[in-house]
Amino acid sequence: MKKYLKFIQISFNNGLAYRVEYFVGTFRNLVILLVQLAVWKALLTAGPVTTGSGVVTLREMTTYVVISSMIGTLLTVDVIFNMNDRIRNGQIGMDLVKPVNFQTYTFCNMLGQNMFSFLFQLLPILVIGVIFVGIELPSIFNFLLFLVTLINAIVIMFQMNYALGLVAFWYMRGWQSTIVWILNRLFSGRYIPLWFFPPILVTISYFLPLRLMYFVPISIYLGTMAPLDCLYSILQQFAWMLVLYGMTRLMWRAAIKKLVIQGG
Amino acid sequence: MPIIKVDNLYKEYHQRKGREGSTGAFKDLFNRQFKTVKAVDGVSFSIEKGEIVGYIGPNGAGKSTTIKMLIGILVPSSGKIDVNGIEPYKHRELNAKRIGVVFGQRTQLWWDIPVSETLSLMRYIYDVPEQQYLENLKIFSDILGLDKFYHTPVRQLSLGQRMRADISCALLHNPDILYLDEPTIGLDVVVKERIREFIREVNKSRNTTIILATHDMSDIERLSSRVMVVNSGKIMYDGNLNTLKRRYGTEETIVADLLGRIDDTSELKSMGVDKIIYDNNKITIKYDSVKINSSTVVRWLVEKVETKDISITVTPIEDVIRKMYAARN
Repeated sequence: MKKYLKFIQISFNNGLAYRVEYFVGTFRNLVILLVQLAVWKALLTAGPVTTGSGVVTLREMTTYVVISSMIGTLLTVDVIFNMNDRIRNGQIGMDLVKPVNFQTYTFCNMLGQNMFSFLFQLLPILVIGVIFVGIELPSIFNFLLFLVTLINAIVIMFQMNYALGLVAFWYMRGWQSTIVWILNRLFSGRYIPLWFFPPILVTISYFLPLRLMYFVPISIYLGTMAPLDCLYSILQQFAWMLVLYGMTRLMWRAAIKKLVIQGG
Repeated sequence: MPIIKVDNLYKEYHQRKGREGSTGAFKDLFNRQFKTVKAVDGVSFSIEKGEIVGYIGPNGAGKSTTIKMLIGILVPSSGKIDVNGIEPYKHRELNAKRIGVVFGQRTQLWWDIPVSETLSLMRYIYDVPEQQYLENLKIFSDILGLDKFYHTPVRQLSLGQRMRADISCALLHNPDILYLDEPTIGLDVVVKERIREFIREVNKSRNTTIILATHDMSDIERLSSRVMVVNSGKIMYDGNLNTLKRRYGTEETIVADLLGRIDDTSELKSMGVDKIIYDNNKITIKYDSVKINSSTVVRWLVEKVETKDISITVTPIEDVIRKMYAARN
């Protein structure tokens, strides 16, 4: 409904008010990107490398990290921090007074922020990617599948963070972010593709939704996934979305009973 | 049919008891101890549509906790609440559409955008028809002076302006019930009176039910005839305000800085004040507000002499409660 669109709009506009933070963030992400490009260049200039899943070329890896960086702007969320913060200072009370669904409201705020973040950082990343490094372009079919998995990834990432954010209703602590951070670095394929992982870690990654957020979309983009595997991955994404939705609904009902609204 | 009915309401919190010292903190890691705090301890009442009810008590009495449960943002430990036919926490969004809330210590407004943007957003959130929206904006401008800071971002507003903006938000959708939690805290006398007058007007013209939680007696005196006194989570008194004052007495004190001299204060004594302390240019007058009210005393004073500064102190609610306990024992 219209109010939710307005939330996205306001959250997006807020980005303009916090320009400095975004400049710093963009700079940081660019540095990380450049470091990654340098590392892979050092590793693969001598020639392609053979892994358990096939052959990896330098051009594939540079494309990988550039696309990963762009996905990062859409999947980096402040949800846990914001929820912890608002619960600790009692401002959550003001959110709950309004006749809006709290989860949808939180999602809209995140979406506005990430859309701004994406647009703000898109240009520099593209400039590096296309002009300086030269990335691969996918087929139309692969690109469409890529978009679908990307949209799903945004939803799943939100749900995961939201579920962990709800934990603050019980504990008011901040360790949830650390968990996400660690798991994300390890099993999502954000910095190191799962092609390079030992079999045991690959197996573990299949039980988590994280690989469906970076590794799978990028693989689809690069065309390293068989069409059947692509569709199977998308189904997995939908399955996770359902599971997480059920989880957050149950958690919400329990969390709201535990909620302590500070102040007043 | 009361619009609000509360039955045997309880809200308990389990607080972690931290043991002292480093050894204590270490023990706490393995064996956490809890203590149960009863913020709301068996509260029951009912409120009819169109009533203005004062909910008064000292800090920590459980006023805000009860209000939050009535609003539906806190879940009761036990007991039943019925507001407009539904249980607030079970149907939070539905209940929220029919109520307006002003928390004195927090704002409902979005921080970085102008008041106008927040109001526009509220219009979508509460589905306010355009006609009603424009009419209400006009009323808020006329009586609360909203037009003077309509385009200012919220973080640049003064406390009084922010409060008036919050009240505008709370009433934009013509709610059935308006909840106010310490709405005049920190405000100067002029703004306080303007807000109280506006609330009186809203109640009269729209028959809005008003629940006012505060620890400031003068808020209640200006606004309502029914008052509930809360202490330690329990209701100690539910009835007429004047009866309360008559039963437990309310002593008021007026302190005035004078620019002239008063020759004879015996007239004031004969009017019924209890005690007068006249010292150089300062006069302190203590009286029972049931016997004689503040306006009479002030009128006498300004007729007799030029005053520089006048302050009126009402009996704090803590004293009333103390007298209540004393009377019970």
